[in-house]
Amino acid sequence: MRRTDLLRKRAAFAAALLLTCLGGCSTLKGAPDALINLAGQSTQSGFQGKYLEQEEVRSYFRLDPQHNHNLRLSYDGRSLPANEIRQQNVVLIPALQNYLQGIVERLAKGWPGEQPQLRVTVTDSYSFGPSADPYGILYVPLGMLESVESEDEIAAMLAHEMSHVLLRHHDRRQAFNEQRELLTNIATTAVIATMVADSRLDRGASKWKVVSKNPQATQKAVGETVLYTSLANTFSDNVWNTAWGRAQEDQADLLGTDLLIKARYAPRGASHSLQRLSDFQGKQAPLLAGFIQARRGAMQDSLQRLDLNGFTQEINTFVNQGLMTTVSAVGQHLTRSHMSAQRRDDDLRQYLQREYDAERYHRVNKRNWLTVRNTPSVKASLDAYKNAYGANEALAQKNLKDARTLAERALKSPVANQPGIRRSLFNVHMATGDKRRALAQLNAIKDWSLAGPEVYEQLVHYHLNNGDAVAALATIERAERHLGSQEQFIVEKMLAHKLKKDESELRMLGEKCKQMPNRKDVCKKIG
Amino acid sequence: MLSSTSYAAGLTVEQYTNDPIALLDAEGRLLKKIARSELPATPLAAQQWNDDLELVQVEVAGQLVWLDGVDVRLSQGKTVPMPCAALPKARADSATNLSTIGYGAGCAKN
Repeated sequence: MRRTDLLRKRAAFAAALLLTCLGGCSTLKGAPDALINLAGQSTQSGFQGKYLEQEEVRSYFRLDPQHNHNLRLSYDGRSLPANEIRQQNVVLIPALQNYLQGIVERLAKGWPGEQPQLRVTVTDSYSFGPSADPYGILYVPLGMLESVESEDEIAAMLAHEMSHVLLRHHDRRQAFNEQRELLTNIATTAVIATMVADSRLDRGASKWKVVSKNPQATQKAVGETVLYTSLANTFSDNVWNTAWGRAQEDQADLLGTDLLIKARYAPRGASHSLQRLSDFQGKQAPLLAGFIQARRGAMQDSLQRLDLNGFTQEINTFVNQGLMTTVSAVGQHLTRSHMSAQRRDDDLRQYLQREYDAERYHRVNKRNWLTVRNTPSVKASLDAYKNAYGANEALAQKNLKDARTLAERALKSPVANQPGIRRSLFNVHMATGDKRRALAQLNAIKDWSLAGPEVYEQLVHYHLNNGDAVAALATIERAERHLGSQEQFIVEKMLAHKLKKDESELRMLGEKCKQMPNRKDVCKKIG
Repeated sequence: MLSSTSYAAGLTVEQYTNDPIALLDAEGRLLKKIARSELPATPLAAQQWNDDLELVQVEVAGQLVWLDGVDVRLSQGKTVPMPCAALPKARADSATNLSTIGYGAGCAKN
């Protein structure tokens, strides 16, 4: 490739990335206002009696068939936007799953209306708060299970999430989605920037080839980015979730409490979980500041590797201003949220005194949860995930010895072949430069339907960096099938087809990509 | 029950969250209810803490009584044991908040 062509290609990538950033980050200016819960009168003071008996709740007793129809995935099952797909690996521990599902079913009996499908899924995340999607899936992060002390507390959090589904709050989730994009866009952009900046496309004798200019640095940057993306998703699922708006959270608290008491759980469990939420959010502030700083560094590195003096200053300015705005927005939000959890707890206590003065003194039952948690298969599985998590953490601190010990310890468990466990071993072997053994770890994953986008991403990038377009495409195909989104890996898919010199497929993907606002600019340049 | 009762050094009642407030004996049995306005000002030093029953012992009008955690907010509430997955830059700031329970050897060496 001639030098001028190469420079032009680099300039094109840089322009595309800049456009992507500007498009994705256009919401930054309005972020502080959008993120902050509005203050006002508490919901519980606006009515008399139990919330479950209010007319506004009764209107949700009948399921809306049209609502379900609207939620149905498209016929090809792959058209979910990348920002709506599940972000974490699924954790499969049958005894635990059954226990949690049993709690949901017990709670659901208190709902007098028609019941939507409600299903618990445990996720490989050490965040605290559970979340729910519009399809009735209640995501329970491992971090929540590490924190709670009683079944009543678990029930309180599940009842709250169920209430979001029963009251169809997802119909009004646009604001939530916009805020979630704030961080995931930044993280995704950095991943793409890292990969593109470190690679160049060379036309060989018979085919295009991706040549990594600095494979070790790319792997390191991508690896770090994955760690940080994981962190960003922690915020997506917890911090952003609380930005739904005060009224919706209040409603879910009130209905959740009614369901909790009808199921004969101690409502003080709800207060316990809100105290923990407050504590968790307070502890996130320094963590988030570190994340933003690290993200800024990674992004600047990626962009600087484009080696374009003309753009560098502008990009730096954008990165500094954009990310600092984010820091400010998130900082304010955390402050408000921190207070908000306590305010929710106060409101709930007043509602309980008004409507459930006897029940509010009931004691929580710590025995049931302790028994389940200490069941050998559950304990071994939870310990394995903690070890895998510790291995990733040790790697981030460049402590390879401990990382290996912990990752290998995680293998001696019933969950050894699940994505979160194998990923930590993949990371360990990649850190030692043993790519063959690293790949073997991902190949040992037994059920890819459990994998989140990060694990797919690591494997796709592994294959692309090795110039193996066929393997990359096979992985992307599997990701699309299991995650239900073509948008997630469309850039990588185009790169793989470019490698294969498959121009017609490339054109077709380019056309599809035009409909994907967060990817279209990068796709255009690749095409 | 006494085994879960401990002296509550530094623990204070920060706020009465309900009105009236129940005054209880050491087993959590109701003695009487009292208006919030008749209780001592907060913060109020706690004498003992019963973790099983979630009762806090305080002095009211010269008498030691127990209050239930559902009626008061304490200076130390329920917490989340944070894993040591903090990014290096965050660790220094939050070191005192980080628990090392159960998160493996990587954490223990922090």
